[in-house]
Amino acid sequence: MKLSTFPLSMLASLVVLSAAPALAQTSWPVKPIRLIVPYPPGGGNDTLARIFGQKLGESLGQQIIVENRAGAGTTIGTAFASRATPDGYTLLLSSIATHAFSPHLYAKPGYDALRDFSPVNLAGGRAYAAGSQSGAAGGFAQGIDRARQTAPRPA
Amino acid sequence: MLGETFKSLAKIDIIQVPYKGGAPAVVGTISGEAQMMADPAASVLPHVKSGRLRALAIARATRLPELPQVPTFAEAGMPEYTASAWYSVHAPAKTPNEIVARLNKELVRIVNLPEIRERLKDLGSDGVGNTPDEFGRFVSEEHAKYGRLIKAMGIKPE
Repeated sequence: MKLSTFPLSMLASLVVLSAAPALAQTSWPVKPIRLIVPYPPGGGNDTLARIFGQKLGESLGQQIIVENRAGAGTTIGTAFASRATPDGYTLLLSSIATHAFSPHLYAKPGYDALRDFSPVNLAGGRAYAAGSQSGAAGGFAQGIDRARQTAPRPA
Repeated sequence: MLGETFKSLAKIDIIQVPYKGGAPAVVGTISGEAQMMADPAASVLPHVKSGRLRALAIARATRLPELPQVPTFAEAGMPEYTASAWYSVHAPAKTPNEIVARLNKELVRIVNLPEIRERLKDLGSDGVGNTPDEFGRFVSEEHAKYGRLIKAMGIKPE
């Protein structure tokens, strides 16, 4: 092997190797992306996932495929997503349930909400409303009073 | 779960009637079987508009345009109850930052599209859209907040 050519060929191969990972990232996505939805089809969050998924697919040029994996208070689907290869081809439709309730309601949810995930985006919120029978008089304070008076006392 | 939070903050011993979902709960409240219910605003909106259900308060910073007469929980005297059933996108940890950044940019753009705003409104949702770091901080806060609340309510993990 000629000494003069050896370093050059080494340099060439090094340049090729370091270019490869960057190319793989800038060309993402090259295939469909699955969006894990830990709710059954047809529910509120499933509908929202499909709305966002369709638009996202249009702008990324690859289909977003919704994959429903419901059960155990969203932990089954969330645990599944936590174990997926972190290559950008698996995402999770997360929520207050997956990341704030279930981690504390289940001794073994199957994932660590804070460690196993990278936050991407807070898409939206659905405000809760309290309601009561329409014939009842008064507003919120009266509603609470009624509840206090009429609710059965625990034994 | 948000019903439990409400119960805890209002400091009343409501026996939570375990209806299987929002629709039976609405029916139960209209019939008087249950005195009060809490559910995503979109589910109760048609019943409030028809007059069968009376909306008492809404967990939102400002009043819902569709229900201008319904006070927020803060206005009604319970400012701590700001619960909203937020939904979001996460990726597995170690997903490359460039991909997360691109997804975030696209999702924020989508949330602000007029047609999406309309569709979200129909579903009773507000669009938010923030940066991954802002969202990450929000998740940590919510995770800690409900951890404390669930423990304070004496709910043991199953």
